Amino acid sequence: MRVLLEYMIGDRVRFISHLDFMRTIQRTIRRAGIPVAYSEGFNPHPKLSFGLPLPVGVTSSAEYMDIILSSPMDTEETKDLLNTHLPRGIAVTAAVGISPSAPSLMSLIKRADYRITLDTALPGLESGIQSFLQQAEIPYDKPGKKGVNRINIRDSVFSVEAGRDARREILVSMKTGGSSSVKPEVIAEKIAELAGVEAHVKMELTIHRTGLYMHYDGRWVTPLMLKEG
Amino acid sequence: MNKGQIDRLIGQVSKPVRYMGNEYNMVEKDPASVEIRFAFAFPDVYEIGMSHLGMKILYHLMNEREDTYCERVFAPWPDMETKMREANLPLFALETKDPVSEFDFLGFTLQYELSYTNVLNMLDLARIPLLARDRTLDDPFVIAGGPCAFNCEPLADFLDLVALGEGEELIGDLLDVYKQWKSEGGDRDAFLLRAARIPGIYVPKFYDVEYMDDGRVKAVTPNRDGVPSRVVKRVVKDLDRVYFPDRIIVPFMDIVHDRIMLEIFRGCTKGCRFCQAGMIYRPVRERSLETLLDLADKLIRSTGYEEISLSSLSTGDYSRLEDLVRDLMARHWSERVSLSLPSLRLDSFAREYIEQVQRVKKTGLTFAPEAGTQRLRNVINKGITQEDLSRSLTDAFGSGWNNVKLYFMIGLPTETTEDLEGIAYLARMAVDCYYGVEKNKREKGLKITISTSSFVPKPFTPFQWEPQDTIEELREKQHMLQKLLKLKHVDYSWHDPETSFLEAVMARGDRRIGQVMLTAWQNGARFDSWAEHFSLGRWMDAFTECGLDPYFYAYRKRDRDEVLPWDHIDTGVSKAFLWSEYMKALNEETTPDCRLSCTGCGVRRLGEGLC
Repeated sequence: MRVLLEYMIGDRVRFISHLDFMRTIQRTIRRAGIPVAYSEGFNPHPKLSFGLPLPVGVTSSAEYMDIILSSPMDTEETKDLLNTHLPRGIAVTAAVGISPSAPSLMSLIKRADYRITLDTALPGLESGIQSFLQQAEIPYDKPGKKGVNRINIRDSVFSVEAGRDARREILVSMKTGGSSSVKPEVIAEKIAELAGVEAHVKMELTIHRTGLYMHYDGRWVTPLMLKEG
Repeated sequence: MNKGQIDRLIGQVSKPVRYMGNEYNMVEKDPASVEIRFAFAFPDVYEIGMSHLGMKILYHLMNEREDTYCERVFAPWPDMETKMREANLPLFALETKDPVSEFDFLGFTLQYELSYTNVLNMLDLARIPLLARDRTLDDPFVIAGGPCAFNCEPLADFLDLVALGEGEELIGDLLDVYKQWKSEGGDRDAFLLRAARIPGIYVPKFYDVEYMDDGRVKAVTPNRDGVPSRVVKRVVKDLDRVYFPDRIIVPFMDIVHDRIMLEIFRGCTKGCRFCQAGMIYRPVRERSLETLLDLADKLIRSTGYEEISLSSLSTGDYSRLEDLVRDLMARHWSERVSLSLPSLRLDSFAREYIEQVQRVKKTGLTFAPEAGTQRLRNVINKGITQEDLSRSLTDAFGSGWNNVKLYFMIGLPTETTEDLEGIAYLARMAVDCYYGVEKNKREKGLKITISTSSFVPKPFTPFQWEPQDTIEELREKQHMLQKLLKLKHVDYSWHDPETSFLEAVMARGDRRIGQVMLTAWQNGARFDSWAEHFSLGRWMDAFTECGLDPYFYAYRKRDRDEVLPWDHIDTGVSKAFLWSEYMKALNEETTPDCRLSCTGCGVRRLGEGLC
């Protein structure tokens, strides 16, 4: 049985890395007594797979992973058991059964939405966003394994708008994977620059991932759409 | 500074998770609801400190008390220290993020000498006066424990109290006395005087040290009434009845020992003459099989850890090791919990165990013959023969291991060139053992790692009177071994002799070293156990500035009658026993395991029925 989990990462644990999270979930599964399937061999590991890694320091309302169970368990029970044994700050918000043959989450997720909050209000933020959207080409030197790579970051976003606090919040919807993908703070810094902040000024940002999406039947949906039956 | 600001700052440094807290099983209490706040400090980074079993025990033990909230604090890595100083952020505890200066106690565990400057740095970051005599009623009491506390004279000026021996019972007594003093009121000395009457508590300021003209200690004498002239360490009598936590914190980050540590016994009966732990943790006390199996069950359930290690000074000597390994595997294999057996002794190593352990996980095997020849092994009383080693290695290779480490010490008393050649001989023998196993039974890709550390004479051991080899002598020996060990399948690694030298100075230092330490710290010394931060030059300058000679501490042979700076501390093992062991060592005579017959070390004085 394959179960897809949706979970949130809160402020209390925002500094854990993806590897830290993987260890944590493996230990949580053992504490909770979830009948997870293990790989064969001398170093058996539980059959888990993850969506898009969450950067260190970023919180999230909706992350996804799936686990293979060696014997069936009710999805609500799985969710409740995990929540009883997770560290505070991490919580499973939904669990659904999916087809064992469904493609991996990693390959399905194509879009990540973020809410970026500036520590100090920036009066020109909205105009910075407008100016970002109006340009067809915004070059950025992306650091890579073989030196920097010049890319167009205008291509890496689907949309950008100001949030409820229009002088502090940026809502950005970004492409994931591929050579033009960048960290959300790169977009925020560019917008701030277009709003008149000098390039060398380091801004304090709080970044929250609001959702991850896959493309299905001509629209964006969350991976929970994979639910079987 | 509020929590949000601290978070912001943490976000700017390497490995921010070190400072985050909020791990599973972290204890949360309302600080306003307790009478005593205790900050338990490990003077090194999080991933090292969190690997320490003693801290886990005392953290959860203190938090069992409703009147006490124990929190944790580790040494901030230099990038974090810089940020903290820039932002004027004082040292804070992980649980509440409150400044540790607001706590009642700041307790350091002293596991190795090269962490001492981190103690000073943490006091400074906490804005607690470094010198105990400068502290007021607004400051916490600074206490230290752990193996290095037995000779903590170099730190004496910076500590209010020292806890000697096992803390499980002592800490409760101390907290009770503190509560009483707090309710009655009084100055700091009033509390310290009461505390000094608790067995195992040493208050350095209540002892005066006199020196002779040549720099040796003349006498250490109490300067108050009601203070014992010798402080005797605390010992827990029954390990089945003493507290052991059934839940422990599960860190998010990958710490050094990231597993359940099941302490199977304390003490060691082997009597290796270089080994301080083997002397100061006497006598041997075992936990019963039933208690251990029960603890393992509870700990796996409460932590979800995938690995258990059996912890002790000499795991192979546990009287029911076979049953324990078999039962643990039988109970937890279905949850894929693996078992690791550290510091397994050669002479109790059996093929059966190897195969049991192999069922789950195969990691490198480690053996510690410590010296290259039987003669030198007799000197240090390491009762392992070449035949033992050969048999164990053949067993290991025959069971599929291909990665073996052999640990040795160089610079041991009476060591000659022949002993160093003996190390290379054993390396070649290990290779031969591998090729002696049938080809279809052995794993491909043999790797033998020979590792040498440099001998550091430690207080409370039979070698406490011995000089250390000089840095130059140790370097020469390492060069010689590099040449001797240029062998196929063999790697050689060695320790930096400069850090071993400083360790030797600190280990047998007296109170005057405190000034040197303060000077070295002011000149930037911290994280001395980390090669990238250690600078011997900084220390040598500090010695010069303070007019003290480090060679006096490291390279001088002591006389039998010399008053040692730690003679007023009693570990139970008598100085007379240590001296007789020293003399036997020089005569290349061995002393049998004291499980076979009592060797009269003196520890029986500590209580009826202890051993």
